[in-house]
Amino acid sequence: MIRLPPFAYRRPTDLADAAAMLAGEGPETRLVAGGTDLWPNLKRRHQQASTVISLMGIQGLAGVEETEDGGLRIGATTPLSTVADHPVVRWRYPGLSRAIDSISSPPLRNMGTIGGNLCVDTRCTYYNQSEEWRRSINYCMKAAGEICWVAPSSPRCWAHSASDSAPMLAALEAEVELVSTRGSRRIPLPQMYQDDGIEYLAKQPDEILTTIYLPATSDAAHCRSSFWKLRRRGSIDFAVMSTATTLWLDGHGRVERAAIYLGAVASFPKPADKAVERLIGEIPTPELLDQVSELARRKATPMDNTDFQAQWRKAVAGKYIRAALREALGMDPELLAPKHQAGGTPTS
Amino acid sequence: MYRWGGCSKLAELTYIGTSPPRPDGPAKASGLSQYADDVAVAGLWFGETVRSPVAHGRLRSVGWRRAAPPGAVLVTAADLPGPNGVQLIDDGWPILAEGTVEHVGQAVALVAAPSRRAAVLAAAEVEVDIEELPPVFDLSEARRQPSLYELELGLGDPEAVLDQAETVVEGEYRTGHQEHIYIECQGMTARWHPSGPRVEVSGSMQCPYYVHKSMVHAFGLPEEAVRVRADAIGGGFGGKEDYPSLIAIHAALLARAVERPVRIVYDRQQDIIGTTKRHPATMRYRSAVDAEGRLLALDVLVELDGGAFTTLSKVVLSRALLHAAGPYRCPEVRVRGRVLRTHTAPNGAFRGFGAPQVAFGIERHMDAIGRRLGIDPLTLRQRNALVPGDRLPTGQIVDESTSALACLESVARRTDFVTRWTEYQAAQTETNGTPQRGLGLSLYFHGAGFTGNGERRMNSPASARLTPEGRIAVLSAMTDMGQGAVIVFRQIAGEAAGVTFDDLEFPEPDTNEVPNSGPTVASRTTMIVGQLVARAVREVSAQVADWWGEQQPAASPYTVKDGRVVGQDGRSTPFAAVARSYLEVHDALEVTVRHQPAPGPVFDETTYQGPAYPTYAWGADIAEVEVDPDTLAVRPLRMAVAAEVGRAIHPRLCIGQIEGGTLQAVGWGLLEEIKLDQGRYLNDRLATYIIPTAMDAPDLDVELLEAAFPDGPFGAKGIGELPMDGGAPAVVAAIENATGLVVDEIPATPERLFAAQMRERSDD
Amino acid sequence: MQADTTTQTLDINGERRTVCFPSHHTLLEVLREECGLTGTKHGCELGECGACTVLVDGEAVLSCLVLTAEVGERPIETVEGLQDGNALHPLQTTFADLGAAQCGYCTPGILMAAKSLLAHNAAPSRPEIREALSGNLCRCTGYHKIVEAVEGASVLLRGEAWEPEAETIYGHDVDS
Repeated sequence: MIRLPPFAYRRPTDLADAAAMLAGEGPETRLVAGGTDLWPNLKRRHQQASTVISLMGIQGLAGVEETEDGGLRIGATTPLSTVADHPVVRWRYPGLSRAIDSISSPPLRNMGTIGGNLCVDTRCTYYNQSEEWRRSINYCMKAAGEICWVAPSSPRCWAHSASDSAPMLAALEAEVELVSTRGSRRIPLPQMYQDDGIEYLAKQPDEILTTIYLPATSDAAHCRSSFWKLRRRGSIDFAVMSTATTLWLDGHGRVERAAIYLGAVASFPKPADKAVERLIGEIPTPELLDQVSELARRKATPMDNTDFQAQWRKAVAGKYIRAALREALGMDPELLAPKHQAGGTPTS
Repeated sequence: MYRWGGCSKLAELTYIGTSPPRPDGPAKASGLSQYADDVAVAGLWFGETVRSPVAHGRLRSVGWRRAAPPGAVLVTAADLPGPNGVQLIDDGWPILAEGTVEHVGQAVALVAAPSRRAAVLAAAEVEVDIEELPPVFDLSEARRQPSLYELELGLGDPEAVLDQAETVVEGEYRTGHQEHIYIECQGMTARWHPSGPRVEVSGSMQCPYYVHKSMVHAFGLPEEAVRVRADAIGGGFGGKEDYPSLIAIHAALLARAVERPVRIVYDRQQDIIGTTKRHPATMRYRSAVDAEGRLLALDVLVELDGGAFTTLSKVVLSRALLHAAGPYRCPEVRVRGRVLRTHTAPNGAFRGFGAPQVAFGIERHMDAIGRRLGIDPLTLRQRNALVPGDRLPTGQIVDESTSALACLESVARRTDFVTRWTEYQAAQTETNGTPQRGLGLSLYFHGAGFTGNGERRMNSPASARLTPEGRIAVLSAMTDMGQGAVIVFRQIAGEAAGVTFDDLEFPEPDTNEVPNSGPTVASRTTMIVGQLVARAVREVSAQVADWWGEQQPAASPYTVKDGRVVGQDGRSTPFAAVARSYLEVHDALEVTVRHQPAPGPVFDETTYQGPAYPTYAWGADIAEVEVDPDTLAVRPLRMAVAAEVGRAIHPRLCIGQIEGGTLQAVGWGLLEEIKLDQGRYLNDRLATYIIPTAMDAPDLDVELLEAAFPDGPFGAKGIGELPMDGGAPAVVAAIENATGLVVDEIPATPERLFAAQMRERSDD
Repeated sequence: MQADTTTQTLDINGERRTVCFPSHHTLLEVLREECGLTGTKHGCELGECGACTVLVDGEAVLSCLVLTAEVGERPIETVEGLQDGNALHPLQTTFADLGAAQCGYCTPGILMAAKSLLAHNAAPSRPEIREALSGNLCRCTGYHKIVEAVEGASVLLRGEAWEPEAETIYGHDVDS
């Protein structure tokens, strides 16, 4: 059997206690929520932990509620399926439901939490291998070695972001609250990440992600969102690329605000800024979307750190982004939708 | 032209052709079935395997890095009590590496400890010192070395025809590794009794007597000192045909060393890294055809990658060559093949056993012929399909149950094939970016039973005897790995003896209890061993009825029907009561029967001429797919399958076998790929070696056909492997129909399709 | 390091059991090893196959990735608890009748995932059934009969009659 290594296990019931514990324990202390990322990583010895602090016992850290300003407050330890199935989420932020519904598999969405998914470890084909394999090729720098096997002359790690909720929440202009013994701060979600495969979180080691805030939006007509996840199968697999788009339209169908974030193409959810600039103030036409998706594609430089050959990903990325944009605006995507979206076998 | 019987005869039969519930169904649906790692054993220790991290090297030393961890025991090749080889066809497969290592993952040492965790920790404390040597991974390099096996078969003089022919079509086709991914990983438990000595092994295995034979060989023990039993098996597909012998020996070595029962259970990573896989194949076909697409001559070269050691490669090659010309008529055929050696884990048995590889080859080749001559796939196959009386390249004449044309008719009718294929063909260039649909057809056949003279040599027995309660105990070594032997044998025995299921007992496959009726492989269980079961129980039942007739002559002769012994006067007595009376007088009644090969010509293993199989099962698939012309993502929508099975003993289970095998073939064709990096399998977990989930599976629409095979029980043929042969070429042909892209290598991933698209565009 | 141990009273299939186990052991390990309930299976232990699916508080979870110490008093349901005395659960009936269990190794996980689905959705469509089972791998059946069996069980649970479709054998005279 593949067992977890032994560790000291703490289960505080109070957020302040948890923050104090986290500040007080040594460097090999990890937080855990649903465990669907940490436990496989510990089992495969990608990560080590001498102490694990569970957040699941803390009162008030889970739950979805509407805020006074018409937005949404989501507790970090809310299970993924609870978030995706929440009627307000499905109605007003359908892209978020779509993104969460694509994560992994149904039982894992009952266990994994939204906060956990935002903090999920970065991945790479050279890192996510067995201990024996990694040792035999000499460990890469994310695994305690010194070299990046994706780009051997690079001084940094190129493991990619593996979260599906992160690009979508970033596109929805979400903010997060981080709490430590030093106080709390609320920042736009993209600021929680940094461009490195190893130190991919700008969240400090002693900070706990407690809450996700979504801005107000009256309904799905005002804020159009979509999420397309590219992978081989219709379930279980991580994304090799994902596109999260939001388009906020005014009464005339003109784009007031927009966001496009790409997942799995960088160590953080990557914004396609130039593509978004092109959209602002315009009424989206098919030709405009062609241009926009081409601009966004340039942010999706494929590297040898994920499944699917890089050459293919490069050829396909722009079309995928275009399809997601078209779908957000109610147009025919003109692309075969991901299997999980089509609801499995069409004819049965 | 061709008639299929079956339906009209069913009225006379009680069990055959019905679908009663399997007796192990409730246990499986309530978690009570005991698989290898479920069985509680007092005082159990656990074993772990230390494996080579390099593909080729000189093994300098193996030992503890520091002191032995407390309680742990280490076993290496130096501790072997007998020859260092797993006896299958030969014993060239080392039990533990000695002198050299020949593949990544090769077992170098074993450790045992009192707990699972202690065993894992102990294994990490073993140091292996290897001086690396240059490995061979590439088939082009492997070709320059001596091959492991070579074979050739043929009819006539294809070279002469090819030289003269107007139309010659050539092609090269490739298939890759496939990993079984039985959901239950391999596991064995061994108990060593020093007095004797005696050893008992139980676990997940298809063939208790294969394990038995290899244990006897490895330990130098007399046969009666080794006992092997199969637990409930969580899937096999051939992966538990050969490999269990190795892991059983490993467990027994540890049990002997620690004098306690030892269990070795692989986790998924170990299972993928260390166990056998389907042989990768490269096939070259050259054919001469006439203007109508009829095959005039065929020259085939098949190369299989056997990995570092031969397990069953010789027979895999044999079956591959015997199926290489496909279910088609061709007067001049030459098929040559060889097994090449690479420094990768040895490849072995996997459902189909060489036939799926060449079925992909010949079917894609037929598609190439159709493409060249502008003939649709159905017409082309109808023109060439074997019919009763035709000759195979071995000279064997195919029998009356040959059903290729009927299978084609079944699938074509259900999918309106020609009309829609033609429409999709025309629509290939019209794409405006929307997903395209396509249909693909494959026709295939599969020899049932052991290849060549295997059955003749094994001369398998099965037995039946009366129990003190008056039941008939049926004794064979066949295991049920999910395919349903437990119920099919009950139906056959009940029907043959005229008794009910309650009158039957089936002792577990335990080498102490049952005779060696041969392995559960090669689509032989129902057809060969089922026939032995029928004969044995029929004889027991008849003897009981005859004796009863001697006791009550007035109403004799008696027959046995529905569990009762019935007289001419219409009065009857329960069979069990009569059997008990019989035993009061006779003490015992046991009948052993042995396989009787059909009279007639015998297969010649030097010339490869003669009947290589007693009969063939037939099949056709039509795959319907949707392909995105931009991403080249493929969604398989539906598989229409026709399977000719002789007689469906249990129609529901039979369809279940066809459905499961078809999805395995579709997975092999589209998704499954072992990626090698310097001899290491890059994908060693279920997230990276991917098989279809419920969201990836097409609709499966199976129609069974029956054409009775006289030497099979009630006409049944063997069909377990048949569905593996057609799925891959059918989906690849469907992709071609949708997009025009020709891909002759599987899996047909989006990247391969993309590369084909790039090639095509640069050709334009 | 030496393992911490936890002593906890677990609610398994309606029965309370006090168990002592290393704190880092998963629910899969505790069920199989400390409790002797081997109906729940291991197929990968990394959350990639679904063989270990059990219900916690009625929701399907993968027990190989659930820390036992996290479960607390929440009710755990395993395949051993599906039947009620001698009465099979409708899922077990339809699985047995349709041959939806071939080797049976994926079956416990699939039954538990299906049970949870049917508790939330009394009349699931076939695509919904596939989606709910999309985390459970099966290598033997091709999923077709599994989907049919779950659909059949939903019919039985609604109190309606259900019969499996009869298989048809093709055999006819094709003289032209």
